[in-house]
Amino acid sequence: MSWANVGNDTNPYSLDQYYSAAAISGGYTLPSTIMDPMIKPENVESWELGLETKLFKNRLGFDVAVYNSSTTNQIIDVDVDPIVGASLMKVNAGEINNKGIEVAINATPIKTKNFTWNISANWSKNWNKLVKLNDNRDVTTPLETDMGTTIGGRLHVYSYVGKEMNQLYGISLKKAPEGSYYTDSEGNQVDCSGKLLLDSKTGLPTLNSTADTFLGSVNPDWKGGLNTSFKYRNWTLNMAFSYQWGGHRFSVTDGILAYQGKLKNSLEGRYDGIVAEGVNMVSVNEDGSYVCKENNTITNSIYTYYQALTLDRYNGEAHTFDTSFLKFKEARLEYQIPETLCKKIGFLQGANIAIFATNIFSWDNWPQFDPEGGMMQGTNVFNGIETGAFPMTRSYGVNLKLQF
Amino acid sequence: MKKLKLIIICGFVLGLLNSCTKDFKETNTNPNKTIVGMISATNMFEPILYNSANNWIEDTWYYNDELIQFTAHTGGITRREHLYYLEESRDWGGFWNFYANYGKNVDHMHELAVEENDKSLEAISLTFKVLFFANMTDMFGSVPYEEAFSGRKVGGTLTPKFNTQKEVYEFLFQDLEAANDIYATNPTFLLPSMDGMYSGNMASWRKFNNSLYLRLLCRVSGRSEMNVGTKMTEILNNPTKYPVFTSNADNATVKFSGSDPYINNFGTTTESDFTKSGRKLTRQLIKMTVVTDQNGNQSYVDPRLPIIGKKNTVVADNPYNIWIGTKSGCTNAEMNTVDKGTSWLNYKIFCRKDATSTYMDYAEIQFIYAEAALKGLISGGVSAAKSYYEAGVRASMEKWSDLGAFSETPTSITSAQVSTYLASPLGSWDLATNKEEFLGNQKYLALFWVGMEAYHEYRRTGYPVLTIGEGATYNDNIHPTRFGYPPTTMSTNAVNANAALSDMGGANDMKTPVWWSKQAIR
Repeated sequence: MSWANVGNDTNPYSLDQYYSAAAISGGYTLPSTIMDPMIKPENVESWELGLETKLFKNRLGFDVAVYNSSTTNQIIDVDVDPIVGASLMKVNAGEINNKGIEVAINATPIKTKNFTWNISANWSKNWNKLVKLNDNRDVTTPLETDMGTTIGGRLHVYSYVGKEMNQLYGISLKKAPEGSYYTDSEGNQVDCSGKLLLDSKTGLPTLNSTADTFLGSVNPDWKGGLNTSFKYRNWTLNMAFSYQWGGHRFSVTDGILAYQGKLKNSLEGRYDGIVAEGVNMVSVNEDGSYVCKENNTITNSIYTYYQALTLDRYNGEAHTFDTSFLKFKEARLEYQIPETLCKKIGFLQGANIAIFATNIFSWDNWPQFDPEGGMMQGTNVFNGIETGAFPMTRSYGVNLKLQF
Repeated sequence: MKKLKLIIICGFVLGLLNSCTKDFKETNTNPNKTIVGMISATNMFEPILYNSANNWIEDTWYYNDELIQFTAHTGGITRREHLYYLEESRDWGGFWNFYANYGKNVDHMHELAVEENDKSLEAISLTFKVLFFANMTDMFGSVPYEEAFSGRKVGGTLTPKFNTQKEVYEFLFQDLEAANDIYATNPTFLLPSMDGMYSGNMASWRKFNNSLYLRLLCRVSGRSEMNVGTKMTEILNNPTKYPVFTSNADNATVKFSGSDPYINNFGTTTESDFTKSGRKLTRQLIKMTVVTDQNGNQSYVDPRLPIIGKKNTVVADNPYNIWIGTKSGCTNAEMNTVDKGTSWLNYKIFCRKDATSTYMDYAEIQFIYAEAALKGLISGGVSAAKSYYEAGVRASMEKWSDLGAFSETPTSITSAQVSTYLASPLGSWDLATNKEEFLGNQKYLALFWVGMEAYHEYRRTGYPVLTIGEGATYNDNIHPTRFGYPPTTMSTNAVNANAALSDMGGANDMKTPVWWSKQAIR
């Protein structure tokens, strides 16, 4: 059991207002941030409850910890309307709460004279919540993490007060509203709410004009790692895995490649068009739901269908993917040269030789390179958006260690 | 020994306590930066003048020309302004922040000028303030004016209330009067070399101030309660008290020297980025500047067109070497077809390190008077309107004639060519059946490359009559009547912003008309 209360300060010279120097020498402009001379340090209060158990002569061990940390008086630059004379203001604001659980298991299931098998695994889950924001801010408007100009208004990473942080919202294709139905060839009414709406003349879907469709949470449900090692006489085999479940990210790389037709997903119907799966609207019911019919119109322009609609880089829904993965991070096979042999050589105390490989496999649903790649801007990593992240590099090697 | 230890420890502790607050202020002051308030007003002037002039033409090229169909980006789908795809934070916010940012710096320059008793910059601050605020209210409708920029001052507000557009205009008229009174005292501009517009000539600044006055009066002339005619007549009849532009030499044009950092916004832009791969001249513009005879030959061309634009020189796409315009608001499917062989902007004219940027020119004054005479706001009637109109065209032609020198094959417009134009079916006053529409169309052409003016004027007069393309679906095929308030405004000042919206009678979109617009008055 532990409790801590830690203060954090901010950058030096954050009390006075300073001009920004313009490119024109001797020219000045007003600063963009309003400072607060009475600013207080940040405060992080946390407690953690841990239990470590070792059983069967250390053959089996558990380590369980639960934690709760609350960050208050965060020193952040909040947006203010530039019409007040600045675009940012340094304030003590908000409260973010993180709760979680971490579990680790160490076990040695087999231990004989010549053979040992060790395995250790860990698993963790975190819940975060934006408890409150600065005063006099409209709580129905979410906090948006700055994502730079390339994403602009077509994809948002929002955090609503009172809810889990970092949720993706974007543009999607228009769907049939709740309660819509069509009548199939046998005369049965089939519910088709949520199905793609297609124009009966052109066979094309429509993009919603505002980026307000919920696409998923950036935060993973849980994550963990696994290490295992086998030792037989002088041979040791080590393997490391890491895994994550849940979480979503918008891939700019996928958007660009797809809308330019560089991926396989725009192959179908490239020469003769396709009949997209979905429904055509026939009429609107009083409650807002639609009476539909099954679509059987061939797209009149496959180019428009892919490039400007279904794979459009503005279409957030089409390029946001689950970031669950299981990665085989490392394998290492080591041979310890026997002491007797070393002694024979004379000047050697010990020696071992190993072959290893890293980033061996990744099992995931991510269409581009790496489900873990975010976007870098300055020193901040934004997890909700991937922009041209590099693939992981797989490496192999041989390692010889001599002790004199 | 024990005692000695105690004394040392006590001394050490006391020393620590002491150093806690000593030099606090000095330690926390950055020696490498200038604290706000420690400079003079002249330090603010150049960044405001040059940077806003560059922002000005950037917006003209990027937004005004696309919205008002001078150009349309049909060279690809990366830009969709001509389809009215305008994003809340990037586009709405971009405009809002632009005016607010320069507004706050101008406001601060005014504070400093008043403090130092620098009369020239005090007046210039007011003129600039009007320029930025007028554009802001024209883009958005109601905006904070009275309580703007107070957030960084003691006792100020972070949630300024909005003034209606009518109130804003009334305040702006007061500012213009106040500035004119200061200019009348003939103050001295302290460092004339800094002034890239008028070289410190305060008489010229005064003319700009009052010309702006005319522009604003014209903008609200549809609102009878503003009694615009009286003030316009006073300005017209009293050139000593209200001097306005009398030639192109008076134009509010910022000149860039061409050496870093005094470089035009498009000084290093490539022809491909500027026009070839994107923004093409439109059918609308070609229709208004080219006469096509019964046989389909282009028999007469507005002499300004070959200076503003350039024919497509790709023979395969434009085999007859004619002026072809693209379709603004085209659908994605027709883009490749309508874009073929289309004319470009004349890169050599606009993309120079020392190209100029114009806030307002002399031709506009003549067009304002022409319309006022035609509508009976000032005396003279139709015959006066005709002569104002012809003076306006002549001024516009002369302005572009000077720029023609930078064309690939240098051209100019002779006085005889202007007369030919004024007798041609394109420019003849007498041949025009609907004089009001004719004036609106001609003013539109004269406002090419002047800020967002053509867009503002279209919403005021409804001219030229534009064809909204089927592809312009992003605002439901409605020409944007205004720009919406950006998300930051809506989230940090929701109560006041919503009050302003309900006062204007609409949602936060691009469909609510602004107060002076034709749509709102009708």
